[in-house]
Amino acid sequence: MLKVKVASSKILSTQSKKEIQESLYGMFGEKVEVIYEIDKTLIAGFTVKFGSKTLDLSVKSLLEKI
Amino acid sequence: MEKLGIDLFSIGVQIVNFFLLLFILKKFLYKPVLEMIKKKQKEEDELNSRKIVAATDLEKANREADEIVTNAKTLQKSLLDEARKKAESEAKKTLEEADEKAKDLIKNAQKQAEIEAEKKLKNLSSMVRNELKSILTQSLPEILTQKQISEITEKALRRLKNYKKNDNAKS
Repeated sequence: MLKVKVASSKILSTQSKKEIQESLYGMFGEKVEVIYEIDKTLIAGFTVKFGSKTLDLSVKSLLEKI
Repeated sequence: MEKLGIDLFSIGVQIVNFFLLLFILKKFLYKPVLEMIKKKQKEEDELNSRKIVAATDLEKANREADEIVTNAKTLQKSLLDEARKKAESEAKKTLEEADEKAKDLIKNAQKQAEIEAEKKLKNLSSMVRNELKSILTQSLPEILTQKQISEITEKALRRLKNYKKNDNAKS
């Protein structure tokens, strides 16, 4: 099973986790194991790491683009 | 005659003496003197002739000298005019070159100033961006409400939903 790490600044709600799970299933076409962790430096939003790739959907990444 | 006191013999002697003296004078005095006078006269004539020739030569020399002076003055004027024209031309050329150099210098200085200004602006912009990032990084966690954080999370979820496996993700 594919392992994916999702980091967020705050604990995600159950609904959010469900949506993430569904999105990842849609993306990979298979069930994935999601490991959630807290990273306060992200400010808001979250990041998704799978393999060597990172999908950054955090406010931190937006600030870095300024 | 004797009664009158006239001695014919004495008179005859006197007459002979007179002619003898006349002969001697003519022979030894008048002739050399006349020749000397003639010679002197001739010398004087030659001297006068030479004076005339000398005067003519002098006049000719003066005329030639005048001509030389006139020619020299003309040449001098011509040379001066030429030198003035050349100097004016050189000065004009130098001025034009200096003007061109000054323009180049100004242009380069302006370009340099623009580059410096652009560099400073970039630095300033970078500083402002960094400062802004720092401020936002520090303040946003305190400013953002739970509702706003939830909205951001929802937005991120929507983006994740639209995301496909092969879309760009940081390696």
